[in-house]
Amino acid sequence: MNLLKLSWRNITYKPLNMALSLILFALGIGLITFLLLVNDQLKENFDKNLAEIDLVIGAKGSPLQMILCNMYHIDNPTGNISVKDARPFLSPRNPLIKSAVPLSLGDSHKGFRIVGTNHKFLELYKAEISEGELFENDYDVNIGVTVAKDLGLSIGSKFESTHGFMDDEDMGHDHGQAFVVKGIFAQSGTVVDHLIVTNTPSIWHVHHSENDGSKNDDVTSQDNHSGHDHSHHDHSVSNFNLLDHPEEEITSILVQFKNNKNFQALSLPRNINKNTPLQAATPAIEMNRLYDLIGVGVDTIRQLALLIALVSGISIFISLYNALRDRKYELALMRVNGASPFKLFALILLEGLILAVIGSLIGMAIGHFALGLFGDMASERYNYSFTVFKFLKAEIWLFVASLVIGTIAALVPAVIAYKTEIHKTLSS
Amino acid sequence: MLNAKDLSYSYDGKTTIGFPDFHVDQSGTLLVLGDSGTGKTTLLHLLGGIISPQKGKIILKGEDFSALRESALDKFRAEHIGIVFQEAHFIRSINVIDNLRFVQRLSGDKVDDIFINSLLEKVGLLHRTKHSTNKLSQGEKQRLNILRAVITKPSLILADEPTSALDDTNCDKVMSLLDTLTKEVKASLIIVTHDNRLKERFDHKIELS
Repeated sequence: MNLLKLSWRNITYKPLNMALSLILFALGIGLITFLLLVNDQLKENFDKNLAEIDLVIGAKGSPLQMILCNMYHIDNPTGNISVKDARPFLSPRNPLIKSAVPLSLGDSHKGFRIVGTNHKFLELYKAEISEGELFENDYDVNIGVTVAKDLGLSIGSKFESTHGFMDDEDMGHDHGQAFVVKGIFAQSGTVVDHLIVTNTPSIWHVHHSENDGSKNDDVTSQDNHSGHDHSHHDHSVSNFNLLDHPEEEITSILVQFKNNKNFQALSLPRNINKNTPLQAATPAIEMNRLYDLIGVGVDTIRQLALLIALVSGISIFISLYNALRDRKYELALMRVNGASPFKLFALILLEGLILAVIGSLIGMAIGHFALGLFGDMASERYNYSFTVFKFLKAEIWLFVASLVIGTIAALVPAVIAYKTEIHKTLSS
Repeated sequence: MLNAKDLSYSYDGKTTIGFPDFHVDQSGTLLVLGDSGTGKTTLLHLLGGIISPQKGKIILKGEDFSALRESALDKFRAEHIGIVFQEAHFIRSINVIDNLRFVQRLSGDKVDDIFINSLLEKVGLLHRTKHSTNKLSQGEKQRLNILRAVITKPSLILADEPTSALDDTNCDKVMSLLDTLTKEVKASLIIVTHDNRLKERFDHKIELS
């Protein structure tokens, strides 16, 4: 029977007191762990999906909405823009632009977005095909690994798209031709894992066929450009040139500058917003704005978590202090039997530390478990994957901090135990 | 073996309690009788090394432990002195045998389960080893209380009012047990009490007044 075992027995002797202290401590630490994990993984996800994109050009509306829709695929498009208006930015001769990737959005399949684009889109996210081949012809699609897993799709699978981003059968397109899965992307941890990618004309086909079928499409309604009926011929990615279709529409362009510190490049968004019917938004600026907005809420929750941790520290103090009054005679007996004052100090300190260690370990487990639950929900709603078993360096500091709280909470009772007056206690 | 000389103690610096000189041989016994307020508990605490006298010496096994510093005194007490307190208190979070093991460990000895079990058997508590001390009857608690004082094989056993609250039958049992266990570990025994029934049992006694 050493001090550690005795501390443990003392704690478990009154299980209700122990449970109360542990629950409070674990809740505080759990909440802080959860916030740390969400914050870290959200930022990591956001950063990964920035994909070195310097500018997003789309229809006028909310710039943040445009960024969230076209880069993170978690909001609706602000509208469409004509290829004619977008031509200066799509042209390979633009001296400021290294890469301009067109996106056509508006459709989905069972909740997963279909993106009409070209192969440069995959270069942005460094997406690689793990199975099958790259999309080439109309109605060919490549799907993200999450799409394949969740919908049970494999190479050769066929499906029809739905208008909008919700899984709604009433919004199904009736164009008579199904998309065919040609390839599946390797897991990249980016938004591509959750996307269905095809060429731009495929999206036009779907909507033209629909317009022919007199369904109204207010998000990506595309008109046949003169003398060019897309529904009757095929566009392979390699021979398709978007600039040949000035009357068509796309949703946005993802732009990488040749030099993003160039003054002209930096003033391009302002010029576009001022002088064109288009809107340009800088992802870094908009995401910082979003962080600021979210930050207020996160700070409030963090302060709440710290308050819970503080209360739990006080609960450990009260629990030890009350137990001390109850065990006054026991401590005096221990002194009589040869325990030094320091041993009594260490005994009480150990009790506080044991509570803190168990409380923080349970709390961290709760934090990771909560992330798992949140991750499932976020994966469905926000196209983000969260890793439950990713551990942060900050968690080590959190553990150390919880030990400090446990120590501080036990300090006063430990000092009282240290000062146990044997004669007075035994005489009373 | 034990010599107390010129002992006095003062609680507030004004009222001083003085004690007569006395001597106890190896394995000898002493009865200290006195009414309430005569300083019985103070003497027991002085002899137990719980408090130190302002004046005088207490020499046990050739060492004046009343002059020792706190840490040395803790060690000396744990090794050489066993105390049977009037009320039987134990560490409630651990069971009967662990209470005894812990006392052995605190005294710096190795835990000796064979010795512990042999004494537990002797006092009829072997079937209670794994039980919580809360579950023991008053009689069992008193036996364990005595057992705890001898478990470290001390040179001196002090007992504070061990029989005051007992009827004659139980008084005999407790005294017999104290006698047996003290002899078992070859210790000297000093009983501090106001119980006059014990007068007849002791040849060597002092009275406080």
